[in-house]
Amino acid sequence: MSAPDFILRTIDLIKVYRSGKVDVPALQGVDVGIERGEYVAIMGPSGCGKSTLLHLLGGLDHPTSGKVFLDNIEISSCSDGQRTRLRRERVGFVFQRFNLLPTLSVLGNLEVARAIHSNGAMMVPYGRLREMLVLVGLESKMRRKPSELSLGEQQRVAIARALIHQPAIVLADEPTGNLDTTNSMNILRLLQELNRTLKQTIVMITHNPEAAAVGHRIIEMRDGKVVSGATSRAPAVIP
Amino acid sequence: MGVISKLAASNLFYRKTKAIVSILAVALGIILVTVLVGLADGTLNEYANRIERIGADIILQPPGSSALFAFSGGVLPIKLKGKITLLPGVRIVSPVLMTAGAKVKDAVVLIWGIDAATYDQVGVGIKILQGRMFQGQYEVVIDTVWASSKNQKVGDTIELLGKTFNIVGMRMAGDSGRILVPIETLQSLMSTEGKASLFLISATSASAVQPLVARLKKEFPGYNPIISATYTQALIDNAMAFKQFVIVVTALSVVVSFLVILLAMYTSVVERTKEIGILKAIGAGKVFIIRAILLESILLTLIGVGSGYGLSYFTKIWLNHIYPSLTVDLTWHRMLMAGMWAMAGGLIGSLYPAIRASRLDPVETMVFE
Repeated sequence: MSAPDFILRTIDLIKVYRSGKVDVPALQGVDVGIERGEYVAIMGPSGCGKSTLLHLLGGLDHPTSGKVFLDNIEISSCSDGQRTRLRRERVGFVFQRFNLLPTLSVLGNLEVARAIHSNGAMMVPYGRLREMLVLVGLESKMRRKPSELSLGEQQRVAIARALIHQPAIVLADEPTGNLDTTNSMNILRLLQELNRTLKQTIVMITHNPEAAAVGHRIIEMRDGKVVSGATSRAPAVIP
Repeated sequence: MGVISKLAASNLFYRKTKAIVSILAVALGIILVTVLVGLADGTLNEYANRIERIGADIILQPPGSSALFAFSGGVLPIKLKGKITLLPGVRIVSPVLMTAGAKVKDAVVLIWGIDAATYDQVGVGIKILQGRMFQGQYEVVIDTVWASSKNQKVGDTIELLGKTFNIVGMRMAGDSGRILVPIETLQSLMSTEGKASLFLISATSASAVQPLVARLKKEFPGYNPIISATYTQALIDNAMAFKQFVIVVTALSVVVSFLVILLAMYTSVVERTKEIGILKAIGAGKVFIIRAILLESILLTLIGVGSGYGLSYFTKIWLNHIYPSLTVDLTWHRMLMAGMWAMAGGLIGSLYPAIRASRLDPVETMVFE
């Protein structure tokens, strides 16, 4: 049996926030490993540390102690600038509230992302924008502003933006949290399709068990600890 | 247009009211510099040109005076005229008494008291278009600009310094005062009998001018003989108050631009905290954020400067329409300077918000609403 090919791995991850004079533990010794090409859902009640874990996995924040390895690079000890570069090159984020730039069109949003990701040695070809728009089915609406799109369409733009630089991993923070059932299903179908056809590694936070079921594995968290999630299984089929 | 420029432009016009107010405030700074300084510049140049166009060779001013000092009334004894006339190279000397602070028909006007006989010979002479030169004590000659702006004509009367004068002639505008009166009359009304503001001196030949200036300096130590052709420059060089005025107005403009852009960009950064956090989350570095904010402020200031230029021209036209006797000189170098200072103010004003934005923590900004 070959050793697992982890794209993301944490070792004894601890994160403590300071609230006034009180220490609030958000993560208490989390060990998780995400293999290349996996689609993993992280579930748990509010305040269990899901978002904190996602921020640490994506290099948005640094842990109080413990280690995070992204593509075999220990990002927990990197400087702010190094973590920014790693995010730019290897991570794609999808947020619950989409967080598109409201002043720009769909194409403009992707152009900004391309400009950010083309910084340094990396260069995203312009043709990639159209490929992404075709992939998420929004080529005909590329001149529209986010406010002229449905919520589901806005989330598809956010997914296109996250994929533009072919990241090693996509981190999605409740991507269906603001959507109705139909749009949620469409987004989950799109993410599953990306994972299946492009072998895109995806880590998704969700409250919704049905959404979590589309992944290969569900990591359950409670009180800042992982309580289950070691076993892979067949992803659910989205109707 | 680059992507960052597109982002900056779209952000700028997303909040139109704020953008328009900021642009107008920057434009106000430009107007402050160009119109106020242009007005001061124009008044000085107009004054200097009026003296240059008389055609005299040398202007002699009181001891220790700047060129601008001549505005302030009569301090030169008329009796000096005899001594000057005796100097070699002097063809004719004509005394002038002037007052710039007289209010006539609700406007401040430049009144010159002249000795008609010598004045007519010292330079190019007086070209009367209608009527005749004054002969009596309370007769005046007005110029065409004053006549049209105040709707005055030959035969009308006007109140000057508490006396009623008959308008007996109208001459082409361009040199000396808008209103010419006999020097003795003005001396009497200003209580400066036997005094003049300056002497206009005509030399016997062009080659006699320089030696005559040297002789005047020697014979009348401290007095200020200026060659007429260099009068404008001498006026500007000596006008310390004018230079200080320019510095103060320019500094005000820079402060206005700085504060306006600082406030506009600061509020913009606060409003877009989450947006900036998202950009950082997806990998935008500090340089990208700073460039985006600075570009937005540069764009804002550039439009403000352009609007300021346009509004300055509009203000000049409007002022000339309302007050035809006012001169506003809008020179390209003054406008360029105002624009550059406004740009500098805007750039400095946007630095703090830009740096602040670049330092925002993406995790904290994600929860910002």
